[in-house]
Amino acid sequence: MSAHYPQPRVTPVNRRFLEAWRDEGSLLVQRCDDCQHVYFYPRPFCTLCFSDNVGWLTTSGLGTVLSFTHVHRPNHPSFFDEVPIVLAEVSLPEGPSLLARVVGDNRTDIAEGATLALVTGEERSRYPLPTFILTEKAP
Amino acid sequence: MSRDVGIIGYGQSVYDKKPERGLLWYLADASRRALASAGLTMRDMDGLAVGSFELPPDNAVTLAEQFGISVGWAYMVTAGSGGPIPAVLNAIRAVEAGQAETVLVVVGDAYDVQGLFDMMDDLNGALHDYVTPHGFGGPNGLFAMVTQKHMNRFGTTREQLGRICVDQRANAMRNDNALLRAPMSMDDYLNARPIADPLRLFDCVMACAGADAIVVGPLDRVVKGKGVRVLSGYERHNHPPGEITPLEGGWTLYRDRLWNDAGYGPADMQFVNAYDDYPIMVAIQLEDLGFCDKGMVGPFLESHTMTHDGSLPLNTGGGQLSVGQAGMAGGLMLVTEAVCQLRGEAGARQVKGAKRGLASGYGMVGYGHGLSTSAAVLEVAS
Repeated sequence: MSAHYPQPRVTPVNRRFLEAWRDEGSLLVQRCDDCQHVYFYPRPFCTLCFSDNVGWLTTSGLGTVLSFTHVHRPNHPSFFDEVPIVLAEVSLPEGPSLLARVVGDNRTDIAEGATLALVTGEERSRYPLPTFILTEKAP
Repeated sequence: MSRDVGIIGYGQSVYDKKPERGLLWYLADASRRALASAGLTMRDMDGLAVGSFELPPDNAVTLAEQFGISVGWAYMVTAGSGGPIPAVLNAIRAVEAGQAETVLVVVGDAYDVQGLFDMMDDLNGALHDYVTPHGFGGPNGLFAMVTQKHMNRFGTTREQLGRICVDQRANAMRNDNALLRAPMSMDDYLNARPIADPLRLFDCVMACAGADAIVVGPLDRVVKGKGVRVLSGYERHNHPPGEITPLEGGWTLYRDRLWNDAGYGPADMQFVNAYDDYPIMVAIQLEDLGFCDKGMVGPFLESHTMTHDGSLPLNTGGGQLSVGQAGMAGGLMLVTEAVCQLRGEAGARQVKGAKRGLASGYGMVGYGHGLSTSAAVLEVAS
């Protein structure tokens, strides 16, 4: 269970995003139905045209590393036994970028340009937010 | 900016590694020193600006009540450590507009390291909901990614960035109020304990307790050589929008206006106090403010010495990296140290003949990086 990690607040704005990860293992981003702009993190309006006519887009669950770090001293004690925590700025093929954790025994092989995929199966329920594994080192 | 209204007093509180005396004490200590340097008393203040992460639920008005003063202008800094410079700019405008005659600007916090971690986890909604659950390591994790990206894109090295930290430590050794005054060599810097790769211990500021203060008023209130004119100043927030770890900030948007308004350029600055939460952000400010081209800061740093007597005196009091980061006070320390230098009161770390310099602020970490930038060119009034 992920209960020991700090948890996001569940709000009317992000409920669908959090449930999609928890129940389906999907990473959802928002798409504006007026101007088609795709963005992350969840907001009740489009970040380009400010319309409130926005919906959800299920992403492929793949990503590419733009930058990364190995965190040796996390803030919250629940992460202390899992160092280094690998944190990455991830570019999604759907357009937006996001910050996400990368897990797995090979996580420290991460490099800029490396490709990622979402964690699947039972392990997923540990993590409160969409979390990735490394699929391929940088080309 | 005004020719007649400027900075007439400055002060820095005692800085403590542990917040032993409580926030109000530090705010008052810095204020008392600033008022003394202006030759004024708290009773003379009819404007008050305050910046502090920890002050809420109190605010500028309730602080006026605490201080026992009645004010015609009250201002609360909202831009983290990017905000104190705008507070000074706005205080000057408030005096010009007649809303107040003399304004006290005081900024401080009283954290220890764990207190800072707790504060960062909850700093704002986006950070709390979409970053903290990943175990991001606070600003260390975020600025590690900025540093990594700059290194990867431009070939910047730890040795180049380390020159900032090593030379600032040399400055701090001449500042009795700096908390970190032990000598630091490049080897010490390079081999320090890893925090968040590529950052190591001496890339990271130490949270502490303290406050800084500035008094703004008519420059003719102080004797010649003790008033400081703000020649130009700007702020910009959330630029570029939507990028998580950008390698540039809002400084690029007003750099030309900043220098044109001042009538000077980067080469005319006798010192630079650039916000130094991490050396990579000092480096990015040097690029964005025109000291060198984008991506060229590595060779630029190699060609300069940043000590108080060097070719580019940088954070002449040691900066936050060696004095300590008292929360938001880091964004005003840039100014108090500049005013100290321009008044010729910096003692063993005095930049010889300092007449003008730059202070630039940065802060308010949002989803991935600091959103707020500011900068001001300062000159001693003659």
